[in-house]
Amino acid sequence: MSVVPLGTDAFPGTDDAFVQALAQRLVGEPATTREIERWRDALACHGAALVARRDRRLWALMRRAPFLIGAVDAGLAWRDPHGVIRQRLCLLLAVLEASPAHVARFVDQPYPLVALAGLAPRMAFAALRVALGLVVVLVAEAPWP
Amino acid sequence: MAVIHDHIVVGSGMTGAHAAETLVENGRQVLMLDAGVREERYAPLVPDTDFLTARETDLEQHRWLLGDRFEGVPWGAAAHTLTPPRQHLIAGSERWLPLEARAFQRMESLCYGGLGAGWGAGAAVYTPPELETMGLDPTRLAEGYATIAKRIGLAAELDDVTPYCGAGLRATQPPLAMDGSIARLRAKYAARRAAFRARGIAMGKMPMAVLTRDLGERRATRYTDMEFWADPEQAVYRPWMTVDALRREPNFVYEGGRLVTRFSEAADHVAVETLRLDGGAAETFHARRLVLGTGTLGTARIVLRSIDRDAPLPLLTNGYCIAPCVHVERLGRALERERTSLGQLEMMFDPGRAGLDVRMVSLYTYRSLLLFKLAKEVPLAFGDARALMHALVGAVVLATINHPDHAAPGKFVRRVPDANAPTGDALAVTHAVTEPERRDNDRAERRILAALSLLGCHALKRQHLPSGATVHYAGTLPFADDERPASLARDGRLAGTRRVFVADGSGFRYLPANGLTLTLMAQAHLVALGLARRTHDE
Repeated sequence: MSVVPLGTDAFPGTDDAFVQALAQRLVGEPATTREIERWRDALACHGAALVARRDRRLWALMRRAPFLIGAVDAGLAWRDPHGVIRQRLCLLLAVLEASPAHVARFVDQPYPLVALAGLAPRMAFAALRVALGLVVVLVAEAPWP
Repeated sequence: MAVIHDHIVVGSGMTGAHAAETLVENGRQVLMLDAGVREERYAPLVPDTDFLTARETDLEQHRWLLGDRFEGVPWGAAAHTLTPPRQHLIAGSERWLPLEARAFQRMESLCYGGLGAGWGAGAAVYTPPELETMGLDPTRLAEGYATIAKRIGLAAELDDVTPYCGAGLRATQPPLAMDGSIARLRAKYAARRAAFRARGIAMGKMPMAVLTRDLGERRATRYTDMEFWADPEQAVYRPWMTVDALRREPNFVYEGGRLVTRFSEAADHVAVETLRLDGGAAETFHARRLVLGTGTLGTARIVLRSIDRDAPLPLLTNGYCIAPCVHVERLGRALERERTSLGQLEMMFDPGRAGLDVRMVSLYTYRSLLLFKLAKEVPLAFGDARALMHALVGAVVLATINHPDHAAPGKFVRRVPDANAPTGDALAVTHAVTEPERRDNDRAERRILAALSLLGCHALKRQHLPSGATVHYAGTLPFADDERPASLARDGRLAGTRRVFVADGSGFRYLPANGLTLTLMAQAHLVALGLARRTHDE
């Protein structure tokens, strides 16, 4: 049962479509309705509200341009690794992990060497995402109106 | 008229439980006063199966993996091993045991069985030089170790680390099996043993308080990889098992739900003041002898209040570093389904070859604490970090490096007023590692990780945890032979008192790197044995 009161929008900007985009980015699979509900509960329990202006800007940007989700996350991993946006994403990752639906994305299993080799270009992109993300985060921190 | 008990033992953790058992075995009447917080929410939810099967099939796994309030998703400096079924370890400690500190990560417990409910089961026997530096008698401790080993069951074998952590143990059970990754590391060490020994490095298995054969009502481990979540076989020893057994004895009484705050001595007894946890009502108990087994920090609180001391007491706690490593030849391979989450192999670094100031490294493979906790430590987007760690996790080896600790002026606790606390005070902790210690520790860590690299296990980074994170605390009332204030006599008696004894690590003058838990139990047994003999003579 959800701990978020019905009929309230305790955590604006967490609509289903956006959460699906986040889940896709995190595990390459959609989240179930119950997982989405569970994540909203987790936000409420951890009090993970977007208080800082920068965080509100970045969250809005991720919603408007989901292709920047990874970049913003990567930039914050360096700039503010324990900030509230990273906390929200970590909670979603934990919710997805604690579900049999996505177990293959988390539990160790034989990993073909070809797939391991395929990690190299992905990590190169990951590094580029960090660079892009740092720029995006620094811009969001700028004192523009 | 007030009832005067024979002995009051405070606390149900490692020291309280074993002091009480020794007194009861020797025919003494014992009243145990304890907070006794229990976990009843999650234990029934954890399926009685192995971790992988639970992950693949249990639709309600999110409840026990993450917690109903998502308390199992640590953020910041929270302890990653405090899974929801173990969070009762710290329940109530913020309110009842307030602590003021910066850069100190404490863990104190009010739970039934104390901090032992979360023990990693490493059961080290200290070397004679370590025991002598601590202020303990190696010959007497050998007797204590043997008694405790028989009571709790230890899995051990003779190997290169035995002189550092298992010397003299007899009647042990076969050692815990290692998984493929750790067994391979050990095989590579064996192939180059002479070179490692020349560097002052020994590798082997520390005795573990885990059953590999049935013992009484407890069953041998089934290698379900569930140690951080449940243990239906009771394969890993926990002090509540001892207290449960004592509660069936006619000369033992357990009173839970009480926080002991202070004591005062009268001519023929000790008055022990308590607060009830269910409302704060004060209640006083009386006994001929009082045995404190509340852990070093808990005992410091009670003693500082009772002797009304404002001056600081020294504090010891191990330095701690975690180094996640990649065991390269295991890349692309999965861990076995049947395995243990506990430490599987130890490395001792003894550059002086003196058995003193040895560094202890425990090696773990990683699965049951969940991947997201690894991913959040990687400086990449979570999606990339998950993919990376998913590929690597079968090859991940966590090396936890423990450093010894000596007393120093910047390491102390002090009682301070706190108007919001039920007791009106708090414990203020300062633990500043000296610059020479920091340099020594850094040098030791580099040499340890270089040795691991020679085994094909390469560290990705070193993460230094704040002081206190090992949950090993000692040294607040150091042993002394001259009745100086705030010290213990060798038999555990608190200086300036006649009837108050301390059974925990408060008297240790030095803290070796190996976990102190087995020594705590052995010392508690010896304190209680001395007390039983003394009261018999009286």
